[in-house]
Amino acid sequence: MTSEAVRDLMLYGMLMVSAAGFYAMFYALGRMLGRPAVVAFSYLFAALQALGALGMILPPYLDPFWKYLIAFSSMVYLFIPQGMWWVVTTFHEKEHAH
Amino acid sequence: MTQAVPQGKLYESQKLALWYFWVALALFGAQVLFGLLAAWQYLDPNFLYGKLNFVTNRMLHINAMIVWLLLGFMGGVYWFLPLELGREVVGIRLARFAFFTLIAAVGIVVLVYLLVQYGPGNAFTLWFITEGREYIEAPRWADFGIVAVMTVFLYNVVATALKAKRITGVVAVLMFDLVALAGLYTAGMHYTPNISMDQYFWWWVVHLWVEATWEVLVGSIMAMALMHLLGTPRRIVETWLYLEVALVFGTGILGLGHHYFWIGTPEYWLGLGGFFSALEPIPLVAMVVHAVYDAGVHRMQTVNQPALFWAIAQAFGNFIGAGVWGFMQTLPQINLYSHGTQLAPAHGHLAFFGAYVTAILTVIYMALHQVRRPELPRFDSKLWKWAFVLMVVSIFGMSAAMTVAGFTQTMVERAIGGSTWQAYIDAQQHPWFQNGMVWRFVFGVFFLVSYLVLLWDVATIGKGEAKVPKEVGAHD
Repeated sequence: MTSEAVRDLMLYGMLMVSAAGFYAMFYALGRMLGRPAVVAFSYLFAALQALGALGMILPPYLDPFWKYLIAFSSMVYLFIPQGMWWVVTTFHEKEHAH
Repeated sequence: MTQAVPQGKLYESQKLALWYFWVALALFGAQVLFGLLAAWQYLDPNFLYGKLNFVTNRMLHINAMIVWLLLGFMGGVYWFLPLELGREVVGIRLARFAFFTLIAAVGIVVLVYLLVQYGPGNAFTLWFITEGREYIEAPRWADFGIVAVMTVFLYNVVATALKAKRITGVVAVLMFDLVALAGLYTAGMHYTPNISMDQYFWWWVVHLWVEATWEVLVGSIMAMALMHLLGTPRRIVETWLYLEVALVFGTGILGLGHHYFWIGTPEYWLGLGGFFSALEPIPLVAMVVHAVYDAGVHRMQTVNQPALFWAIAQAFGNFIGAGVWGFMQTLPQINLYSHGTQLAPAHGHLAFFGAYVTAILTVIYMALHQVRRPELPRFDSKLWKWAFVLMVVSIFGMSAAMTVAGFTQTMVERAIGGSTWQAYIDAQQHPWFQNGMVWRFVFGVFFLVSYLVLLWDVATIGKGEAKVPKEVGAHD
């Protein structure tokens, strides 16, 4: 592996996971405050997360196993905020209903 | 039969917890001080050379951290357990004896580290001075002491639950975790001259003990803390705790494999370790959503502001330290070049601070509220905000500086230079590495200042004149 490949993989990996975190944070914040603009802003980070994943998948640095793994992670990150929001609010609503 | 204490009084177990917290905070200071000395020795290797060498400072820095966090966790359990089970902890005398034994042992080990430091590589050194194994340098007698103290701790939790005839979900998780906590540490006592086998079991302590059993332990403590701090219903807290245990088993345990990449273990660890490590950040991202929800529902308001802020910092810190900084170097293709560079301590500093330090500070502030002024509608001060902001900024500053230095090592020493001796020297002399070390020290000084502010706040918050009651929007 070349030094450029190591550099690219590290930076895209950092971008992928940190953007996933910001996506989750802004999405939850937008839903919490009832502000669609903040939710829409969160999708920018979702796109960045996907971009980070593509940066690792598209170049020929990694074997297919690792590319599939990163693609799978990236897909999961795309739906975590919505899924978790549903889980959290459902939990709490049920609790309040008791 | 329950043994509720009168309003405003403390259980004996809670009084013991306060001792744990104070010693933990003192050792926190020792960790910061020795870390700062080691950071300065990166810049001036001759500083204290022959008197207090870099390896000794680094060893004390790391071991102080392990012990103070462990003391903080034990204090957290002794604080919440009687509240959880509605009775005094069984074997409180034994618990006190274990506390003083542990403190005496820590004192002796520190003195030996400072005054003797090292010895010939024989059985005497291994048993009475240091094992010489990174992160678990404690001499063998101290190892047995730690296991004995943890066994007493386990006994106290189990016996109290049985006596109370009440085993909640949190307590059940805690009991199983403490069995693993006492048991897994013994893996560090397995010595073999085969370096691969030695490293194999060594990681059981460094990864499984610290990163798996501690994660569950801190999860149990935070579960109890959230019920008291925010009034989060038990059903929700326990469901999340079960989920966390499942995730630790699901990704955390086999995620250990990312430490097996390059130590001479079979090749399947590349796939196994890489797969589970790559999935590790997923639950941490999910927790960010829950943290935002909790903070939003309570509008960042509760009777105990410092505890709330440290609790929220725990969720985000865990994600950033363990998730982002962990993933950046967890794929074996990258890890081959980055392992053992300054990227590892960058990840370690953020992850330990985010996951554990914040949790213990949450519990300490909750305990202080109960001890100092339980009648206060708002437990607050101006200083804690300074300590909070300074500490968070300086830990990020330190980690960022180490990240730049580690990135330089990864590129210059490993990827470009091919790990030769000359490449090592080139990396050490590279401006990015050297500036990284300077900034690490500067932010280390900020961290020491923030620690002192925190200590002053912990010593004074809630004391003085009664405050005018204010409207609060959260459940107590």
